[in-house]
Amino acid sequence: MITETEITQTRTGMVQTVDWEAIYFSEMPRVYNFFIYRTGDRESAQDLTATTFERAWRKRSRYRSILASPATWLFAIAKNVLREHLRKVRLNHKKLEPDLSSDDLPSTIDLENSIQQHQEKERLRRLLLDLPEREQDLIAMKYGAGLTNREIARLTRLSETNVGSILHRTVKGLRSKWEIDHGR
Amino acid sequence: MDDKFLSQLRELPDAEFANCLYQRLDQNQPRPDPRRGMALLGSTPRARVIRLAAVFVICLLALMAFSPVRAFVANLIIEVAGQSFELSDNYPGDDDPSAEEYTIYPQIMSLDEALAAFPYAVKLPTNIPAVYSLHENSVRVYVGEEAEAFADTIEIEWGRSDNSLITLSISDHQWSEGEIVAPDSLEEIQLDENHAAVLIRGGWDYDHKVWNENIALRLRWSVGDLTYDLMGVDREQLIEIAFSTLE
Repeated sequence: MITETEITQTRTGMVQTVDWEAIYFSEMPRVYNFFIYRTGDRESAQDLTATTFERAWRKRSRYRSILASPATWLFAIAKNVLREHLRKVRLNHKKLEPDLSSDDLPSTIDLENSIQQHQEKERLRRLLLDLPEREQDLIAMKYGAGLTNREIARLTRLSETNVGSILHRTVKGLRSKWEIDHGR
Repeated sequence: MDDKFLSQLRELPDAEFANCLYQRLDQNQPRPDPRRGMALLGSTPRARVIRLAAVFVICLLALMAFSPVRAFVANLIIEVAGQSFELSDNYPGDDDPSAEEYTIYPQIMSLDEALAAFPYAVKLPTNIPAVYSLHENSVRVYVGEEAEAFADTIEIEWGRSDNSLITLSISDHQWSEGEIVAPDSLEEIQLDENHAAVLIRGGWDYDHKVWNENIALRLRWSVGDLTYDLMGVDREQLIEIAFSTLE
């Protein structure tokens, strides 16, 4: 078993407990979805999620709750892991492409409906991958990881208002492209 | 605004993946490393530094058993604001043949990237004088295994038109512990009721092998696990900048 609770001393000398097992189960799906949104690829998302948690687990004795919440701390590591991944992708002259090969195809009679959903997901992934990197980050944090604007602001060093307005503008742009595609 | 369409990519991670990762984390929990004791005998630069430090401490303890030596050494090593220094008028030397081996190059990042890469949340100074501008895209970052003994450290610079700089280094360890400085070069400054800092006037002039008190002005203090090292040209300015990291 992962050690459920560890004692951490804050810089003010207060002793606190951190339930790392609970953090794993609550945050892992969010970190995974952050990478799903950011890479459009399930296999990469799994690899990057694993790297994030392995790195976090190695460093967790350094975690101080007075400085950041576990989610903020984990996503700071996840952002770093993502940046290293993107750097490698660029060095290899690759372009991120959505990879849906591992999406489960339905075995039900509603095959047509499922295929349509599958195609819509692929279209959305392509729209996301066409955004500038900062906007991709914000969308992945907001809609993939489900972070609040305040949490995103802490992670990106933007103001909360700035995060809100960038997201608003980005979603508006995506929405119109999405509707154009649907109107075809 | 309807943004539900953006949530459709969200999915649950594969259960097998989640369980495998959970088990892997469990198995890789930090445990006492049986090779750790052997590290002192290792041949990596870090191991050699540790070995030399251990030999130094043993020699020092042995020397301090003799009372005349003890009195002499007590005058040489002092602690100011929680930072230890060795006082000496003698140039410490720069002829270490293995120095090249210890060169560790930083990663250069933007400030946002650096702060995200640095494993600690840091409070940056808020009152850098307006004539200085942040060198936004040249923050030096030492993180990860390749940064060895320098990890984890970030260095941020602000420059002005006459090329003078304010440099702030933030690190989770005091890698200048025991720094050799000239006598009378240190001043303790109380930043607030909980934080003291040490002001270091000058530095070693490597060309003339002497301490030159005009070379640099540094202010060093600790907050929690982090040590801040600020370099600039004006004493009051440095104190104000340091104080803004505590507010």
